[in-house]
Amino acid sequence: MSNRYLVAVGALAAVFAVALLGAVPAAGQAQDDNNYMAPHTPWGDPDFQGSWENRSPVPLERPVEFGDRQFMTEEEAAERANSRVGLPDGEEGSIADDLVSADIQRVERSNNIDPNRPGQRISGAEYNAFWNAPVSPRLASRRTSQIVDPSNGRLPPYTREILEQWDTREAARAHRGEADSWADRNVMERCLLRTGLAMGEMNVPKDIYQTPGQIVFDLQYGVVRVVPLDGRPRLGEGITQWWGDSRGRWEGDTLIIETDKFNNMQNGGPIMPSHGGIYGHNHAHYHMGSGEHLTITERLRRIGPDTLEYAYTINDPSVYTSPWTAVNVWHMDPNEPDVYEYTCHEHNYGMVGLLKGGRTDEQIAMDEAAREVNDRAPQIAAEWAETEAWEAAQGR
Amino acid sequence: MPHRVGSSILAVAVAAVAVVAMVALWSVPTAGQGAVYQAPRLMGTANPDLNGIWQAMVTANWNVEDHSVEFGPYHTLLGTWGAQPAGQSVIVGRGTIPYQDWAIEQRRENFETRLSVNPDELSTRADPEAKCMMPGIPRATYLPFPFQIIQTRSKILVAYQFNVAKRTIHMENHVEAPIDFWMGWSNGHWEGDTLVVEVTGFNGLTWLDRSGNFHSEALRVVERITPMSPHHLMYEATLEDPNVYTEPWTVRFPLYRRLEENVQLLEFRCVDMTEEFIYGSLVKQAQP
Repeated sequence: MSNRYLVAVGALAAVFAVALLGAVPAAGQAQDDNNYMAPHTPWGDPDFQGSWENRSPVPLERPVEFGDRQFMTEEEAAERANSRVGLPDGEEGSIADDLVSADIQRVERSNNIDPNRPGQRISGAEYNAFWNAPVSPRLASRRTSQIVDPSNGRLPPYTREILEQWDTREAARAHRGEADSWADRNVMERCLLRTGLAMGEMNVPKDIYQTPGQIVFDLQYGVVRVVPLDGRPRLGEGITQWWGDSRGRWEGDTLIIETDKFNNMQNGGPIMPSHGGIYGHNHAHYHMGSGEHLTITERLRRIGPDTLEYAYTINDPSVYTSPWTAVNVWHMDPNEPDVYEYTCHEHNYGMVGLLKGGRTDEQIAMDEAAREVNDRAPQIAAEWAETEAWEAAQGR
Repeated sequence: MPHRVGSSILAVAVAAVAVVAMVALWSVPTAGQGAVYQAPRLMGTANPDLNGIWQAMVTANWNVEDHSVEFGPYHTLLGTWGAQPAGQSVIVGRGTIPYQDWAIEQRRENFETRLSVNPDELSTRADPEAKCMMPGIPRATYLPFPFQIIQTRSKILVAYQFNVAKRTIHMENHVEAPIDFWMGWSNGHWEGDTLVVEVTGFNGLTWLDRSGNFHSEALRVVERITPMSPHHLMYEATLEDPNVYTEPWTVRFPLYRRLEENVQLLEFRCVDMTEEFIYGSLVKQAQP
């Protein structure tokens, strides 16, 4: 009896100790301290405001050699850090000065590593590392993949429904050039959609604003997400949007956002675009599927003075055979950079160039065909002359 | 008879009292205009709370100057859709913009080419609104779309429904525009209950309306936004551009709070509506 009492007192003491630790964020405190207590706004909501970035060396999908392991060992992580797979040398400034040579280094390194050694190769990361470079030690992570569910850290299989749609879209691509029209290019090149629908894919600079009853995400790649927290009803069934419709609520100090009402144009239409792709393949950052049946659940919580854990669950039963969940860590950017204006369409000379290139290719082919006709013409004329001379000699 | 006279005198007296009372009632808002209304404060600050969804009710997006009814550009296809409503100038004290001589000619050319897109002059020719490009300031304010003010102490974010445009108003750490922007670079401060925003750093590619009224990259806009009632803000913007105008000029009109139950800012992403319009001349032609 008294023993049990002692245990209870001990537990209580531990709670106090944890509370104290949480209240005084010591300098050396681990960034993944789950007991971190977020500051609160004057109206009592956990305060997420600030400029955040989510650069990460962690790939979306886990290399198969890690199996169900969510984290590498220290040794594997050290080995990986030494090999600097996928990470260009130098500091931010010098990399900006010479991205091309950094890219060459990156390719050389990734060509010279043993793909079978755990910790050395993070498949798929090389390309993204280019965009994320440089990843400083403070962003280092032993996570083997951002996907934590399914347990193998990989995207679940696609549904038959979406693969059939994929086949149909590929069939529609047949007999089309790379740039017959804008419909032959993907949604990113068309400036319709810049990044994945959740906020964890690619490093999108983001500012968080809070006022009573709402939280607002200002995302540099072209959208302001206003998330009502006041319990208002969802939009009616008759409205769909590129970025869907979000509603948020607090569960303790965790913000939960549920989003649906995405439009069915997320994949760019019935023709598979050139340079199109699907998640985990061909550099694609957008959804393979429609979006129509997509629901995204996001969970955000502060886990340290300058870190925030962001988890998102993608549930689209028409595209994936099961929901999947990914986690990444956002870091408050100490420089508090501005989220600049992002104007893609306004200067999309890329599309102008692609279409002109397509027409130029066609013209070159026509010109080449005409040149051949021209080249043959004297030969054919000579054959005619010979035949006519022979006929004349025959007295015809 | 005397009884009748008495009752009519009484009626006159009652009417007179009513008139006096009405005058008194009417005079209250007039006398104290601006000074009387005390807006609620943003929590934790001494400043008015401007949070909300707002919309202008003027026709300045057709033409900031005085304008009459006009046929829409494709009236044979669309009937009255796209027709221009008449509207009074939103310019304070004048019906037209004080253009320099050369600029009047440029404005006429802009008007004539307002729908003549050319992919080689993607961002410099035709009305940016028609091409789904950023509207600039002050045009974003009087587009026929709502916008939302998200106000904190250090930054105010303005999110516009049109083309999901937005801008940040920096309330602290003012710096000069680091580069040029379609929506400019906004630094704000409070003068009493008026939010004053200085907008510079324009790229000179935006227009003021569908009529070809324009400015250059030298444009400097000073906006003054003052709460008038729980549901009204007075919006004022002074435009100064020594390259284009002979003197600064000011637009002024109220902004109205959107009050529908559960109203929220929706997207008007218009890029895909403009692909045929902009790139149509560059697609593969059917083989003969």
